Amino acid sequence: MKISYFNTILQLVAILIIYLACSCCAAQNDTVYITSKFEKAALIDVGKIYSSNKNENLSQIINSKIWKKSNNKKHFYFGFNSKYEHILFTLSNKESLPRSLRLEFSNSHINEISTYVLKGNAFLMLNASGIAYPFESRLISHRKFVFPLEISGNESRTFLIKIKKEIGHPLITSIDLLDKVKFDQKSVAQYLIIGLYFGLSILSILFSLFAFYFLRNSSYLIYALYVVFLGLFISSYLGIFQQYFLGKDVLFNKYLHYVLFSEVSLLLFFIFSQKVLMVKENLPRISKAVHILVLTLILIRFSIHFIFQHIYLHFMPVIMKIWYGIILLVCLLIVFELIVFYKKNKKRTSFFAIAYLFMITGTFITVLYHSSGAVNSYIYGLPVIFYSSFLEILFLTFTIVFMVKEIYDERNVLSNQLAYQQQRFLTAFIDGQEKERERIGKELHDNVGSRLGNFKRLFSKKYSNEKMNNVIDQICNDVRELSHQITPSEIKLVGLPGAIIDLVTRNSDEQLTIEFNCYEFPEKVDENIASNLYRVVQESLNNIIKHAEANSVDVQLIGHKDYLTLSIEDDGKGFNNSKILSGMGLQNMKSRVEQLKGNFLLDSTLNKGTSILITIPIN
Amino acid sequence: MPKTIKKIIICEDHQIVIDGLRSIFKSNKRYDVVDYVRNATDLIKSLKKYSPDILILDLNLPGKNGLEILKDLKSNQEGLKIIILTMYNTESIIREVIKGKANGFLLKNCSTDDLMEALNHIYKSESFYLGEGVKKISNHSNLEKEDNFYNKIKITNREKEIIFELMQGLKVPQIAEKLIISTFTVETHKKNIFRKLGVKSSIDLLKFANENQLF
Repeated sequence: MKISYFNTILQLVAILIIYLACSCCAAQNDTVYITSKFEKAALIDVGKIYSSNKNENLSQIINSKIWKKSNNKKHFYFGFNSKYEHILFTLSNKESLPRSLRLEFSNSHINEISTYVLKGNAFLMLNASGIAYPFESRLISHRKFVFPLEISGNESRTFLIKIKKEIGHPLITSIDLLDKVKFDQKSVAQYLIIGLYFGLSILSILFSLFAFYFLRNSSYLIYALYVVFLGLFISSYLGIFQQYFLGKDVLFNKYLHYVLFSEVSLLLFFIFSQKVLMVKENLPRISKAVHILVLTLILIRFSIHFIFQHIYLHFMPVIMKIWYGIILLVCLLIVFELIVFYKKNKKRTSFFAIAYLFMITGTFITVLYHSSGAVNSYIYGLPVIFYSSFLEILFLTFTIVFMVKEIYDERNVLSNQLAYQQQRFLTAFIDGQEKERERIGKELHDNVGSRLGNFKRLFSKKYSNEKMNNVIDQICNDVRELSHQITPSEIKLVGLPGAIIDLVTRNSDEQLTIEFNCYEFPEKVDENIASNLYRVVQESLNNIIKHAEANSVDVQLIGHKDYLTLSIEDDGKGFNNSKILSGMGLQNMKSRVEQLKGNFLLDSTLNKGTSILITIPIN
Repeated sequence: MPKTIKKIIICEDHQIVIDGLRSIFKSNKRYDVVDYVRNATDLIKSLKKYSPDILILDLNLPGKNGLEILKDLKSNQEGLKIIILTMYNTESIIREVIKGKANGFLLKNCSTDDLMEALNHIYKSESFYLGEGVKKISNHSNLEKEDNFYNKIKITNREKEIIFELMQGLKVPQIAEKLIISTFTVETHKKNIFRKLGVKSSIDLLKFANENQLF
């Protein structure tokens, strides 16, 4: 048994040594071996590189010893000063079946890419692409540059990739060799994720445009523009823009629009951040500084791209450093603004800070990636900046929603205050009216009435003039009626039910039957409650007589343990008119009820009648 | 003709009325205004002091009002005749005065003849004296009974609708939805109905509706 174990271990060690040897060979080799399990290979691991400033004759450089392995183990990084880059690699199919493969470039902004295959001692051009060519010329319609590579069973072929880049810009890209099926699966998944991103963008844009339309605040418009430009930038970074918007357009500078989008969106972000953090109001000096810096950035970019393009060429690295320096400064100022504003509005600042953090992180990683290649910037084939801007938009939209909510809440508070004020005015008005009525009523009843009565008695004692007596009686009656209408002073004598009985009796006639019923109503009711309820009954009977065309009305007072109910029901024509609801009469009743901290319920059905139900808390 | 002079106390808070009444009685040998008071507390003192035959009482007084005074007096002042003299001329007040067992009701604009007629009447007849122009009350003897009877059966249309739905077994929110009114409205109506009919549950209500053949 022991011997058998020993053998197994020996075999395993042998296999391990062979494997290590092979992988070692493979690493030093420039060959990609295609087996049945092959899915993906990074060309950086196998390809050899040659950089040059002139357009070399390919047949002459093939065997020279200028080819080197890349120093960077993650992706191809070509520095500022070279113009032509060459990558050499060999494909070896270990299978007897032919294979379809895809050569994929992560960077969607390469000027020119051409692929060649070695035939004997000469390179035969297979295909050429890049942003110098119209999109439609691409063999595979994809947002990235993708080249098809075909290889027959048990065949070995040597390929060369030639890249033409601009002097003054570093170029960074991954180049992957993928199995066709694997490539297609990956593409579908990536397009799906990108679709999600643009869905979110469109929702955010619509929301902020709505907010702008209704609130008339430029912050929302700037945000909408920012999301538009950020979307354009991301789409052009991913190559989506070229695929869908620049199909036939060869004349449009395909590199320029990408830069333009990135810069416009960055500037919009800066302006937007100043609005959200209310810098102008809180830190006027910083606000001024940020605006000057933003203007400087615009000027620099404008000069680089449109005016001094050739003069600046040699100073490009320096200019770029100044450019990034200013951006860094503005970013730091925003951090300071965030800290200051946090004390004033914690929620809004927190949302914005999270979004900002995502943006800074994404941008930092991407800038680092493009300028030095020091970090990896791709997750599942999509750049970090894509994910970070996704999260950024998500949180910025939260911020915007929160801002709208703040305004909405503020307005609510204001309108509540306004309603409260109106209520107070109405209450004061009713109070004043009531007091004045009481005063006049008392005067009429006590003073004028008494004097008139006395006058009549004295008069009738001396002169028995029937006609004069009648006239005086008539005046007395008029004064009495008037004083009644003005103030229901009999409430004090006979209570609310008694006073309502009189009211009902006075208003009933052949056309209108008014019934009043009282159940479990307490003996003593607060004077204020009684007189207000009396007025409500008076007012609603007036309304019914004037407008309802009712035949019968039921008025009820019901006493409960800790509240009273007054119900007034008619069988009139009803109404569904908001004018009536907001009319003075109903508002007056409502405000009387509200003054008593009661509930006023009204429902009216056309041609069926109206029902008013009032509950008033007692004790 | 009564032989003795009747003592009168006037309870009235307006000097002008008092003066007027006193001037009327000045020349009359059958009546003597022994005192006049302005409120309930003074009245009680005065009643003790003079034990008058007749009280002319105003209803609208500061502090205790005339109706309250009437109720107090009639329970412990045997033989005192009370005539109400007031500006009020409403059914409810006249009913209360009758319930309070006063002897007559005069309006403040009554003539001297009417006043004298009232004073005569209360000694001739047990019936209530209604002065000139006072509203007539129909069959006031049975007022209270009638009220109670009425209370038991009067259910409004809205309440009928809600009772009907409750009897169908619907809950408050369902009724609210059906009648397109708020649940609070239905709830309030329901409580009113229960309170009015003196029932405590929907089952009691069902019983009541069946016994009284509401539908």
